[in-house]
Amino acid sequence: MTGPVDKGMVQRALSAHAAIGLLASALLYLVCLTGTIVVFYQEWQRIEQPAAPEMARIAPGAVQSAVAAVLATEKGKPATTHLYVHLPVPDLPRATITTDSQAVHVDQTGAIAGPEGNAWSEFLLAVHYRLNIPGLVGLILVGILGVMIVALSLSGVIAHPRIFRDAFRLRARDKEGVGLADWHNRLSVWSLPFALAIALTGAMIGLGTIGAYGLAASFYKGDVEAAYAPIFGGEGKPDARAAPLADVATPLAWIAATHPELRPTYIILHDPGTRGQHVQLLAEHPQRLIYGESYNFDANGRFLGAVGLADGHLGQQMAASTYNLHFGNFGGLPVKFAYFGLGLALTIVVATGTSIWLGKRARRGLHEPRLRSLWDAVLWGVPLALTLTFLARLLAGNNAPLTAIFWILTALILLAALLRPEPRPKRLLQRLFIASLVASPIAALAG
Amino acid sequence: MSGASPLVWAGAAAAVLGVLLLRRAWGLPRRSAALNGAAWALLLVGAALGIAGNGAWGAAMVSLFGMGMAALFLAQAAAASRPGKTRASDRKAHMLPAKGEPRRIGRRLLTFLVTVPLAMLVSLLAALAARSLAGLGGWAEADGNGLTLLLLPLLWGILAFALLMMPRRRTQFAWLLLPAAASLGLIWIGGAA
Repeated sequence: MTGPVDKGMVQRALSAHAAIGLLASALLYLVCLTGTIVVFYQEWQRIEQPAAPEMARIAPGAVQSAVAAVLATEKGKPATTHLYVHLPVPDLPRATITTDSQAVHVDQTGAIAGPEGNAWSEFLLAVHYRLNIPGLVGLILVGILGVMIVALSLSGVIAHPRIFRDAFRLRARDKEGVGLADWHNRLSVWSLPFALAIALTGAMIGLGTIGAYGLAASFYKGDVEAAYAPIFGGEGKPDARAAPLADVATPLAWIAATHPELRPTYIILHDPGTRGQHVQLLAEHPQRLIYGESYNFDANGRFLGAVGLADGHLGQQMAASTYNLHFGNFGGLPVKFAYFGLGLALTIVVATGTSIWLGKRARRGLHEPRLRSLWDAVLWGVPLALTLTFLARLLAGNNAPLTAIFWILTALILLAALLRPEPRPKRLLQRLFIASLVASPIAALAG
Repeated sequence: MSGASPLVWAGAAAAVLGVLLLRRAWGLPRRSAALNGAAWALLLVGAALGIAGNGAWGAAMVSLFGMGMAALFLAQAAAASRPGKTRASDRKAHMLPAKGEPRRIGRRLLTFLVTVPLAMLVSLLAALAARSLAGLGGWAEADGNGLTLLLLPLLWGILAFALLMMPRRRTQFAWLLLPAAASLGLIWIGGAA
């Protein structure tokens, strides 16, 4: 025995740690890296489309006019089932209306200013959320990666008995793997609360559907909506018969009068222009982790009740807190910068994990140029492909096929590394990445 | 942080102080239980103050301050470090077979099946069983359903790691089958209730 943990257990934990880490290292790296960048989701949108109209607030009457104007442009098309109005907030002071078929910015008077152009921000979110895989498969896969981070955190602590005792020791300049191992272990110890929080919340978001299907099958006769309803509230009964457009101005005026401390973030109009339509107003509560409380109104703007995300059951408050805790948007820019730093730390932990494993094998005399080259291609090729995709968005416009560009670039880099493993592609990829990184703000400023 | 309760600020200060003390305690040539205890107590008090001030938001803010302070210490350690000659570890992780060793593809695939799909299924059943128990215990539906959504990934992460730590396949299957059977029973009771 060596203290509280015996040697066999440590060795088994190390094997488990390596097995989980290596199984999905490249995908974990991609999800951690894009998660770090997408912390600035709102700021990216402002960079992408700097000319969109901005405002500190918008009058309720202007929102009503804007909704009517947007729906008027859709006459003759299939009716939208949901209409979302993003209201101006400090991090994204824009009013944007999204329907099933379009998204447009509106100005302070409620007039349509032009289409939303945030393809890069949406692409980045889609890589992080579901690896660009349509449907539930990608979402679940990313959720599984969250579970893996939970297991990696546990196995990492057991596999390294001195990990806490050495938590302030960082031999950053040691060669031959000591420095790499120190960076891996120190950053993982000090980002452990963060890693566990975002892994668990990410896994909850990704695997929520599986949980909901399980709940539905066991307790709700297969009705998935009924499983979610106690937490997030239920959908109203649809009635497709035509009706005058719902009043969305009154709910906004009501919240300003009754809860001046709250910040409305979204208006959601369900089944607009039908007898079944109803209005949901989402409002942020200051100094809370919840994404907001849902206030429900009928088509005439009469308040029906709140769902209870802010002060309802603990299960509701917990579920509503997962998103902000995961994405770091609960304390403005300072928290976003903290999340960016911690996300970067977690990305480095994932990156160095596989590098350490490869280094140990090399020190034992195993020469594996192809494996080493492929890992170089992941470490430096993925950020390079992301940066080039961003440049493509800036240079080719909002309609550029960003998903195809990113994945084709990544595949080509990996293929090149596989076919020509020596000399190592690391230096070349690093130089290209730095060049594209420098070019990005120049291209953004040049418009 | 504008608008945060003064208790959150006090909690943040306690967390920063806790990290400072931990650094002192872990830098001593001999372990000091008193200093270690004081440091961990300060971190706990910090979290408690954060919760008392602004609930989960306060606790999240306090933890960011603690991690931020540790990051500063790490940056200082990295900047001050000198190139050394310590020999790096070449501990084997036994991930890939060494030269001449059998590949054991079937065994590896079975380990994957045990820790990924089967562990997920058992975790889901256990999470649903917890929902069943919650229902029988008079919990609100929202709390029971929220508990299921939380437990599924949490139990899966813990179970996958625990299964990988087990040296015998038989023990792994026992750890899958027994909770699964018990959970199914509880779900049946809760679903019928």
